[in-house]
Amino acid sequence: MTEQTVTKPTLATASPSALASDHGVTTIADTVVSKIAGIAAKDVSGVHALGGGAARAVGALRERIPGSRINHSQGVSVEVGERQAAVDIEFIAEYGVAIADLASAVRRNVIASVERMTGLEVTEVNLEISDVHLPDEDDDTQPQSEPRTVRVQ
Amino acid sequence: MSEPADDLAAAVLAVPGVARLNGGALGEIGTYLPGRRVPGIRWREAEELLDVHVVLRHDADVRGVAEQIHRVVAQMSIDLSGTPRTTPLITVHVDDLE
Repeated sequence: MTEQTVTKPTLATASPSALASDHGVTTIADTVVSKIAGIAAKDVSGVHALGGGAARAVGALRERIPGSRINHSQGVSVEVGERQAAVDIEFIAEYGVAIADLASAVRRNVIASVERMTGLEVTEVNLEISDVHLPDEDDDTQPQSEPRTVRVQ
Repeated sequence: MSEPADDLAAAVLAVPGVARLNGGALGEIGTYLPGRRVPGIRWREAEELLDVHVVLRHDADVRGVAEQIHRVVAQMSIDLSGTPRTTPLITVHVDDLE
């Protein structure tokens, strides 16, 4: 996480914000907001995965690299200003969910998480549902998690 | 963590004659929360309407139980977006008997 506090010698404090004080301002990097938004979106029951086809293909390759970490910002793009943030998220829904209801739940959770953790005001959350995931569509991660059957005693 | 939807679900389930809340054939009716869903309680944000989907016991007085659900939910005077509201518009759906 690249959250940094930048102190400037002189400041014009016009509007009250949690991130600006008389003794310096706090800037929050895009990565911080996109990670928080990504985790908040993925958390909602009914969201299968973040990102569209291309992003997920690249993500699947990245995760195979030893030592690589899960990219929580996959499919998330953000615009962060001094006091406000806007978020765009692309995700895949589970088959069988009410997509409109799911979208408003995702929006609510993303806004709550970002505002609570960063103090930024979220102006908009645009969502793009790129696909629906069917329960019988096997993920490539599934065979690894299955216990190996023992054939010999 | 208790959400307004959990309180609503508990209150509806406590009404005599209610067998269970109904999440629909695919589990699509419900409140989508981080990590889980509350089946049968659906808050339609745009219209500001609350849908309650229930399955009643086979010997229940359908009309009477539905009225009781209305009364119980109206008393709670909450909605699922978290803002207090005096009287949410509630639709009780009796989906089945069992």
